[in-house]
Amino acid sequence: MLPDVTDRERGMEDIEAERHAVAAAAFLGFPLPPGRVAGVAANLQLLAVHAARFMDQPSPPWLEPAPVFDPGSPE
Amino acid sequence: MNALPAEHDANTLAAQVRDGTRSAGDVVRDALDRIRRHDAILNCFTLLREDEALAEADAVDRAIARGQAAGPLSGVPFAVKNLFDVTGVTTIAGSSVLAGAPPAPRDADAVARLRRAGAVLLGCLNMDEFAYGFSTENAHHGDTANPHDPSRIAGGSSGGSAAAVAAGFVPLSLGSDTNGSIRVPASLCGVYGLKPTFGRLSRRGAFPFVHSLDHVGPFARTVRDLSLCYDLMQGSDPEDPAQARRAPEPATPDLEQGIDGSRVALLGGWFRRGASAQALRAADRVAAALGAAETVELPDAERARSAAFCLTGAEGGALHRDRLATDMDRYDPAVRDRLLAGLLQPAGVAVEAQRLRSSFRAQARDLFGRVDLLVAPATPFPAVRRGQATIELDGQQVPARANMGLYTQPISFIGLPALSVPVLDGEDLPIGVQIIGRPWDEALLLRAASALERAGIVGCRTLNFR
Repeated sequence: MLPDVTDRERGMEDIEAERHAVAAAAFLGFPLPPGRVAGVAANLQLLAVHAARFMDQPSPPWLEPAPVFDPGSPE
Repeated sequence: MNALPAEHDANTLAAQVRDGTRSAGDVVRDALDRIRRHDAILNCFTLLREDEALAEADAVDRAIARGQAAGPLSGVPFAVKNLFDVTGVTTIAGSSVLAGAPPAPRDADAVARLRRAGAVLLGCLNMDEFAYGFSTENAHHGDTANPHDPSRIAGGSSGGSAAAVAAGFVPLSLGSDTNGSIRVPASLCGVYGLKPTFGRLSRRGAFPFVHSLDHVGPFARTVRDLSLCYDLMQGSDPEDPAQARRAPEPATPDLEQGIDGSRVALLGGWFRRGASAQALRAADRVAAALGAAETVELPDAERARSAAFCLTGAEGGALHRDRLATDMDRYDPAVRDRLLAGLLQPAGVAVEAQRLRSSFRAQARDLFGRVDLLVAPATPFPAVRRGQATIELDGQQVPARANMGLYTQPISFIGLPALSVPVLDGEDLPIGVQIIGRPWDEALLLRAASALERAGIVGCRTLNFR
């Protein structure tokens, strides 16, 4: 069992996560040795669980991202 | 509460040095002696500046003897998480990857400000590698043990900073907080830890982890010390592009004014789920003592926590991409795999996380339209044993480390100021409670903590490391 993941939430299969790791590394031109793929895939599965918690209810289109975060002004 | 030994109180030490009751040299020698005798057990320090610190203490004494104005921290020993630049020292950020880097040419802004106030830097403190963890079980430099029970973790990632203050090695230390790395170890080690508003204090010279989430802040054993240290760290630094352009707003002058008229609420929902009975009792006690009138919720807290988790991976992974490509095998394997996964996750996740950040900030802003302070546990449970993977909560085994940041991550995600106070509850192990305010309202948090301290609700226990 991955940390912080319940059976209900577990979605991304091992093989999918490993394929994604290899493909994304190739996209970035990043040298990912085969021996590192399983560990990275396990963490990608955990990220996928967390991502699903907010990606399944997308924000409204008018909502701007906060790439440089401003906590706002006092009331 | 026990009377505080002088060596644990920065304000008292500085007053003694200024009025000649003690010399800065004696104060620093005593602190170094405590560290030499006990740090083999706790492993707080990764570097001690013994000769330099003694020379600097002597310089403080000579300046006072000449009648020069003494700073507010004259002769007070302090130490910093080893991600802060210290002149002449290689900044390692908890890793061996940076060990060959050249020494820092000057101090980080926060370090420089405290030294200008007369404080004497004793050394650098252990942390999770590159700040990516909540336990300070460091593959390169060993575990930092909890001073309340050395078989247990100190929390992290600023574990050395919290443990050094809890043990009484130094009355002040500095740490950083990206997802809870000041508040978590403060809770587990039973000391005060302040994460200011995002952008309040300069981060120049602090090795980054997640640029859009990183904060720096102090640890102390008294609210007055915490407040003084925070005030001294304030000030504009044109070299930190993330720092807000605000004039300093000192908290110490009004520290004992109380919080009459402030509206306080207990945070419910996500901030009660998964918490141990001790954590819930502690939050309830603090809320009651502050006059909390209601329980409120931040409905998107769970989603915000997950968004912070993914954003941390994305920004942290991108930051380390080049270094991972060349030095992958020199990283702690667990940290390496987390950073690589963060780097390789789809970009859309990080963008959506940033959009959620905007809406969650609006949710918090609405809540702060009707309350002034929020109260929540800092951690769901006290310190677990070193190496312990899981803990039983509500009859279920849950991962211990991954859950340490449950209640801190949503708060730092939107940059709110938060202060972890150590609750005096008679339990064997300490636990902290977060007092959370609206942006830029650190002074109110500190006033609330001061009121709780004077009422005997919160405070630091004195341990046998003298």
